[in-house]
Amino acid sequence: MGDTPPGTGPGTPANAGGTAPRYEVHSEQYLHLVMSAQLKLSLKCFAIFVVILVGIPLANFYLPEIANTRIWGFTLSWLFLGVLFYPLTWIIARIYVSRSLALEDEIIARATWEEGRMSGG
Amino acid sequence: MADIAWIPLIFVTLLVIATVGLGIWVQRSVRSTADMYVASRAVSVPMNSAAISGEYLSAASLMGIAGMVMKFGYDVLWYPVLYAAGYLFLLLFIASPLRRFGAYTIPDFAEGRYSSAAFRKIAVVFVLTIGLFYTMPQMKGAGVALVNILHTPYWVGVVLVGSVITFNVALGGMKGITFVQAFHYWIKMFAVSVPMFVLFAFVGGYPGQMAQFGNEGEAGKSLPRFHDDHQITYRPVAPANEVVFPDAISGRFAGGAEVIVTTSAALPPGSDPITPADLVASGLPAQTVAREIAGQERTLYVFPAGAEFTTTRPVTVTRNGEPVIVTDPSTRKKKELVVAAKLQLFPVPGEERVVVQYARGEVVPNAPADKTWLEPFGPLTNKYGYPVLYTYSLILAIICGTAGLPHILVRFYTNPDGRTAKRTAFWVLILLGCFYLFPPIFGVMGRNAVPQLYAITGGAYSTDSVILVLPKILNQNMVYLGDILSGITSAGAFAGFMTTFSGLLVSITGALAHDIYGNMLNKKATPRQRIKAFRTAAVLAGCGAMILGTFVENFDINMMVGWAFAIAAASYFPMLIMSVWWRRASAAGAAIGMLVGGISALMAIVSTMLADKQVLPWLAVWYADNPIYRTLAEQPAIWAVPLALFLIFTVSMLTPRGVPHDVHHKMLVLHAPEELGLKDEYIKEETAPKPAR
Repeated sequence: MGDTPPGTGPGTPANAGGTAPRYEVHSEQYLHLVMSAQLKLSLKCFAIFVVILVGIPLANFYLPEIANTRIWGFTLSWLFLGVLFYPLTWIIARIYVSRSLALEDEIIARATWEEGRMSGG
Repeated sequence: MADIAWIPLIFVTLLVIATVGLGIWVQRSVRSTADMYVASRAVSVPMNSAAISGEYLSAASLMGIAGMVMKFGYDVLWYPVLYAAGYLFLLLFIASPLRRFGAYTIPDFAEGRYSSAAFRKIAVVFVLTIGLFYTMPQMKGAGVALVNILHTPYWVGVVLVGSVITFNVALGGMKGITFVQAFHYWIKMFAVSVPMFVLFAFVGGYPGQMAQFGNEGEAGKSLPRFHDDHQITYRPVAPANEVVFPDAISGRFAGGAEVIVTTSAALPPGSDPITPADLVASGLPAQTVAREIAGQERTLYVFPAGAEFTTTRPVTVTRNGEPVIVTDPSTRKKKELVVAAKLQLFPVPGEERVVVQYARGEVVPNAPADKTWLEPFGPLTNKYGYPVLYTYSLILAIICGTAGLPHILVRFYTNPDGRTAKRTAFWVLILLGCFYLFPPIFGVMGRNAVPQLYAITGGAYSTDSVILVLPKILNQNMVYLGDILSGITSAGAFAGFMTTFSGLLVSITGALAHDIYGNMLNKKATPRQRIKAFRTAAVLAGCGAMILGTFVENFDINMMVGWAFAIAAASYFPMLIMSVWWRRASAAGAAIGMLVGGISALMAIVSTMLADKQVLPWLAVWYADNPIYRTLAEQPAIWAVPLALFLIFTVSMLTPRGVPHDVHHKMLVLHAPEELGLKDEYIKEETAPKPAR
């Protein structure tokens, strides 16, 4: 493989069966597809955490009456950080892993090979 | 407490025997270098997720979090939460690309990604540095725990844990350690949960315990009190001998003491002086002695044996007779500045320790009041008056640090492929979350049930030992029940030191044997030589860690863990995230960002230590005058991580030639599923580490 991968190769785009275009594995478009799709998914999941991690200290600081309300013996902020946070990580991780694995199947299905060899998809 | 605690000893002995036995059993199936470094990349998801969790849950997670929650309250909840969230971050951005790249060690990745042998050398230095910083606290924890159980000298615990694990690593490498770590995860989960459920049955559940703390009005000001008469032994080492009396508290110096009396916080300039006589209500002894302490001439009051003392209630600071008004940084309300009495205790000549007796019902010294403890921005983050900044920097340090700890990352290489790496990370989150629920409960219950642990800061009988001491309260409910539960938590703590040390030792050994020996000294080594090199390196690194471990008895466990995280956050994490997601990163950019980020974070932290230990007194003064810089130096992640990322970006833009010519292919290997058959093992077992293309 040379320095600059060919934009189009034999069998690209194949577009066999599906509506989504297929790209040659070593093409620029294919790498872009692989990276940006995964990065978008990761960033979406992580955004939820950014909101929570940035938000909790701010809520604690600006809304202490709410953060320190007593619920079931706990303060609200203790209940969230000490107990409820963990199930939240599980839910997000679950969503991420199932979507990410589905995404990988799609990525495989959208690849073609120079030799004309097709993926099992 | 004088004699050996037999029941915990039995549990710890069983654990050690099981660990060694498992190591020997696994060793029979170890055949290749791939077994040694990455367990042949064939570890199943359930086994690997338990092993990763086992390795991750160190002494800091078990003893450290429980003790710190007891000591500081709410703010410490961030630690377990962020350890878990850091893992999520790892799953989202780093886990599967790193695995897909197919290297043995992080230096392998650095060299493979940038086709630069020089980069490997830089990366090796960081693996060794972070590894050693993280090893020391494990060693210290082991030494201290054994002091509690067996009353042995400190070094015995260090040598015991060190030699058991060195033996296991040398025999079985990563493969041997994987089994042991998975086994230890379940030991730890059992040790942290079962005693807690038994405690719940006797003394009430988590919500009930929490309900005992007040945060409104007078209830928020209440302080924990001794449940029994207690005799506390202070060793003459700072900070263990510094005692803050937050209320009028009476005590008795059983064997006498020489005492420096100061205010708990420095007074703002221009305020009216507060003399030692204003702080000790029972009056000061006539006899004084002048001594040089930490380079300064100090006056010590000599209390004879049996002397009793009572401190005053906190004193309002005045300026020209008017109370000094300050703004509380966490509540932003105006209040009068008050300071409490702080006694620094030294033994009288002929004694080695200071023994203070406190009667039942006295307020426990050093303890924060309920409201400060229960609510956010308490004594941990509000130390220097910038609690929100401190919190955010802590968040960044732990999240990015987790994603940059080499011994955690290296475990991902044991997954068969990128898909299993993702599934494993998901299960790790479940296992970690279940575990992290419990250590804070020990802290909460400790504040209610064993408040005497507040009386001493640091060392074997401080809040750090709460998980070992708390279960013993059940001895009064049922004979031996408390001892048995304490034995279980002791075994859990020991498993903590052993697994984390084992992971670190594999990572350090990998760096020595694979990166230094295999790729720098002897590139043509045969597989047999490589296995031999691995074993030699393991023994060398293990012995080195044991020797260093004996020197750190007086270091603070959490401080050392904090160092490792801050360095990892500012060095490896920026390098990895940019290497994985940014195509135009150049070797020079990644190396400079990693070096400057890591070194500047390290220097900032070391500077606070030099100031605290009075090595650089002018720096201590400067930090006291500029608390914002002090906050930023103690928690450097908030500036060091962006600095490293910025440097990687800028230098890479300036050195486009440093971008490897086959970067396209490399990115494809990092991100595309293995099914495409692109995987081109960058680092092959018996060939030179050059990409085939």
